[in-house]
Amino acid sequence: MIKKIWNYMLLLMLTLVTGCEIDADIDIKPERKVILYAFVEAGNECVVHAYQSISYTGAAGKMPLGEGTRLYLIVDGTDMYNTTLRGTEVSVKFDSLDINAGSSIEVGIERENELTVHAKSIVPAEPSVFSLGSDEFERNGKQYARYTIYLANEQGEKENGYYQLIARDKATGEVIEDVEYLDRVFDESMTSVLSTDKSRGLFVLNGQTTRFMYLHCNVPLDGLKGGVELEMRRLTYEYYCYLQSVATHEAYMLLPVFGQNGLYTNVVNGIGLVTGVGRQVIGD
Amino acid sequence: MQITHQEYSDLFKRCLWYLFLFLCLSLYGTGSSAANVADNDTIQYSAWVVLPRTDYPTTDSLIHTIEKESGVTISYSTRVLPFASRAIKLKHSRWHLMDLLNKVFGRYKVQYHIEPKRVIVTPPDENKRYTISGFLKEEGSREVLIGANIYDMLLLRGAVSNEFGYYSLTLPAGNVPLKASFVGYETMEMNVDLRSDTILNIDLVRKENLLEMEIDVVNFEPPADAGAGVVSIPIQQVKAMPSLMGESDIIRAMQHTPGIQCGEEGFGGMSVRGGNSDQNIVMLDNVPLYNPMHLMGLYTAFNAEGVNSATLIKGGFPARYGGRMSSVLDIKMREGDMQKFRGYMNVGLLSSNVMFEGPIIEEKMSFIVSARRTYADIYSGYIQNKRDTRYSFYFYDISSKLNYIISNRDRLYVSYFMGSDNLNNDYNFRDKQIKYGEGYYRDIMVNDENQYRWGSIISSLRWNHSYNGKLFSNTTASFSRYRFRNREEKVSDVKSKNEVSTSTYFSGLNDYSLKTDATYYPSVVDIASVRVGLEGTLHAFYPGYTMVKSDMSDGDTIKAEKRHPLKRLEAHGYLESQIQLKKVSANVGVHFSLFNRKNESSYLQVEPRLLVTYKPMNSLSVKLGGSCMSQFLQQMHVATVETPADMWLPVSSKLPPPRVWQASVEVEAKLTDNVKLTVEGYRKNYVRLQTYKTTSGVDLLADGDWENLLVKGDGWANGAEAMLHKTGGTISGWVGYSYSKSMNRFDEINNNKYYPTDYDKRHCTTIYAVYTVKSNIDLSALWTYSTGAPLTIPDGQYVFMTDNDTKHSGTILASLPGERNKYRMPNSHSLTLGCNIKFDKPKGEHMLSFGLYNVYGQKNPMFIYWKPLESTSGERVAYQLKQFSLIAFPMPYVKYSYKF
Repeated sequence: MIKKIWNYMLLLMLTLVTGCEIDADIDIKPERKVILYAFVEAGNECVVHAYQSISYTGAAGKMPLGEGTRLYLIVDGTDMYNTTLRGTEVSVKFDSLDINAGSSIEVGIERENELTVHAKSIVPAEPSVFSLGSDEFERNGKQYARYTIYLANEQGEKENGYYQLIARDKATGEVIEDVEYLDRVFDESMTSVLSTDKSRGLFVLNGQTTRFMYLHCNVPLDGLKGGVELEMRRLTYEYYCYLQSVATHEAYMLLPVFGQNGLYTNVVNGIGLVTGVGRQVIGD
Repeated sequence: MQITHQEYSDLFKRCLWYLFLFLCLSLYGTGSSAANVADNDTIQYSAWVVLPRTDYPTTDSLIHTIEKESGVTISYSTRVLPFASRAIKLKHSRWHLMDLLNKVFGRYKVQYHIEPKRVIVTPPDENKRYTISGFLKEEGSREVLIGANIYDMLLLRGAVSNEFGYYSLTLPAGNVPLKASFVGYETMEMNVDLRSDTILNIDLVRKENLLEMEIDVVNFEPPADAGAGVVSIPIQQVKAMPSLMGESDIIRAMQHTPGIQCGEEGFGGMSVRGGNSDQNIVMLDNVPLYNPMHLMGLYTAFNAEGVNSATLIKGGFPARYGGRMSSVLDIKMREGDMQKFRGYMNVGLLSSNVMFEGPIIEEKMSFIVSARRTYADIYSGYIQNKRDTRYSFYFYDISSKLNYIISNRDRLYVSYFMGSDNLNNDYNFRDKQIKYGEGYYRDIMVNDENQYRWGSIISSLRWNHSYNGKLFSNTTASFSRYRFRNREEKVSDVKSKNEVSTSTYFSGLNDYSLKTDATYYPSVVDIASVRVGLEGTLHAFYPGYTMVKSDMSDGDTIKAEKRHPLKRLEAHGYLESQIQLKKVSANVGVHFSLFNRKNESSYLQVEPRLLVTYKPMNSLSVKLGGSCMSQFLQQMHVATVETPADMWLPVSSKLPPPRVWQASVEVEAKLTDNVKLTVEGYRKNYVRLQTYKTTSGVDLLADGDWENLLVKGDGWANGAEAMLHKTGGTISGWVGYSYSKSMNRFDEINNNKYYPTDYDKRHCTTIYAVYTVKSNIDLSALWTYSTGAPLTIPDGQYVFMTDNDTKHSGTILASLPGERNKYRMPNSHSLTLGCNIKFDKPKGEHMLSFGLYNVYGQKNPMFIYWKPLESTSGERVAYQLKQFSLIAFPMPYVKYSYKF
């Protein structure tokens, strides 16, 4: 009898405490914005990506900015490289550049009768990884890899340093996303962070510390085509913020209540990211 | 020894007074014996007297008529009543004898002493003034009455009991006709022969109405020292209001009055006059409570059964309050019955409550304990116990208080509150392998358990002391804590050994506080009270830490230690005075606050406060308020709505304390004895506000540099509120309307232009009506309407990249950061009906409450989002804008309560 009453109450609750999804009666006016991306490395060529945003109800993809769009790159305030986009072009490669670690860069887009879209950054040096340890272990008949990395702070560096550690499939270059990080900072505050988020691997070095990181690859070695290759990146502050916001965006994209927008951007009058980056491949 | 002319004059006057007093006493003695001879019956001063309604050529003639009609003898001399020959007119023929005496003698400002058969009129002696002080309490339970009035009916001078039920009133010596009154209680009249400082504790009798909506109309208007725009709903009325799932809820009830808003269906905290929810301070027995809500804002964290009073101040803040910019919600817990053991319990669809109170030492020490727990986890456990994945949610709160009367002058209180929400996910994989990608599997996961817990704890020790009837002090030592904790435990089977990985994340803060307030009630006629106070609080912030422990299958243990908290010292001080003139009263004060930052300079804030009340007539009052408020803590959101994971963080060198100036005006008119119209207007100007550049919040755990993600700005808000309130009668209730506009501007957001704040609902209306069918049955209806809240929603998307050559490039779409609050949600409205039936038998009081929430099934928007539409092959082909409504259907409730 009691069970029947509970059943009835439960049915009542479930029937009534059920949310309802209906079409929203809000007139959304789609907005077009210029998207600008550039990841600039010392001594390397530079690819600048420039295109338009699209509406939610339209087709996906990169929509070209169109003829007459002038794209420029300024290095250290003086050396200027520029070009004009053609037709459906959405990216431009600048090579033969004289970009060194510490150089300042500015990338911009000029279109007739519109505000200039531009962003500035600096190009950091390669990170200083001074030690790498690795071993393989077996689980359920499969071999896995794990690594211990020691990262040194630049001597005399007082500002925060921003880093990202990622693992790639050596053969394909694809980022291995199922990794776990254990990060320990040897400083007076003694904190640890374990992160399993696929877009993380982001670390801050506060100027006086040496850092130990532990990366545990959850993908068995025989699931990869060419073994594991680690890459340590020194990030700019804006790149770090951007990657943080990407992680947040991906984590919350299925929960509308947490918002569906908000990637960090340093692009004035537009969206995207122009940043320098220093990379070091640290072995297999 | 030489005597001056002036001294001769004084001596002569004094002799005349002595002669006069001698004559009076002689008359008194003669009259008494005459009365005793004539008639042993005493005069009933509360009885009715019927007099001809006419013009009396002299006051003497009226006095003779009174003597004739009532049988009382009135002894006076023309020295005392020099204007007794003046004409007087009576507008009514039927009078209470006491009221009539007040009318006749009150105009001459003389004293009169009441004897069984005689009234002796004496000159006022303003030089001899004595203090009457004590506590106003409920008869029986001896629960203190906060905000009750006590006043001298002759001089129309009075006082209001403070938050401890204490009052102090200094009056000229003589017979003082006192009247004590409080909403929902029988008015009490008494005469006090005031010849020395007197302690007078008064017990008022509770009216036996189902609802406490009746108020007495008194000639005395208490000084408006509580602020302008004050919302105070009697707890009995809160319990009787229809509500979601039948839960009695103080904050939800207040949200039905003008100027107070909340998110959709109650989610998202409380906004007062356009301010954010972290700009409201909620104080439980004078201790700040950082998380006053359960279930992300749906219910208030404290149990209405244990609450004595709840007052929310929206403007004209007295100087005693500080630390937040928008409002003060002052909750006072009950103290427990001093005479009899009592209990209360109720059973509802969502939760059950119990409350017990009683004496430990009769008339000396009492206790009260109340507790509440929901049982949604029992429902969910019932349906999910055969599944691999289980979810459960419940919340509970417990409050208790010990009250010890050490002496007539000393009281001690110990109180404790704890409220907690608990959400558990338990994934039991039962030896199943988790497929990962193509062709291979992860480890065998045995169990993955996620626990989320958040809640507050408050404990305090308070000591009240009355020094001499004119000086009252309250000293409180308190502890307040808020924690959000997420514990994740993964158990994997590795080579037939369990590998346990535990990660615990927590954030929150601890407050250790010492506070003392003193109120001085001077003998000076124009100054009702002077208050001073000091408070020191040590904050320990925990802005998101993770502790990790892994017991690896190979025997290794990786363990991490927690980080030290961030400590800051906050101090407050104030000076406040209540000035009471004939038609004008003023509450003037200044509040100081200091925030000490480690190794950096401190912030000092000086906040002037002023509230002036002009009362040209009994039925009309005008209040003008001006205040400056600031705050040193702010809540950082991790999402677009409030969540328990939001963190309280201190100001810093990059984030100076925000500040608001508010000016308000309130006009209150009593249209009839039980109908009141209140109209208010306000303007607020904010400076140094902060917000995140993005609307998706920030992961503070991972980002130690969160200050750089904030931008500074300013804002303003203005609005008008109106409320027509009817108390008593067969139909009672209110109609409330508010217009409000609140705008912010921040660097780098919306091109530095002003935009509506999250709570900018322009028009809100509430109609609440109670129909009393019989003394024990009432029907109620509550209808609410509000225009749509501002909405930020992406109005475009784009291909985003994380590197030149990762697979993200070119395929995955991100939302355009839409202009902040560019759109608006659809308007919301709903109707709730309720019925309360009270039975007095058998043993105790039984009440059955039932009703229907959202009667006509209005689909009010809770949030708006783009929903991906997929093709049959699973590819996203388009998006559609959707609205989610939490309670889209009529939802009944039923609750049974029992009180003994």
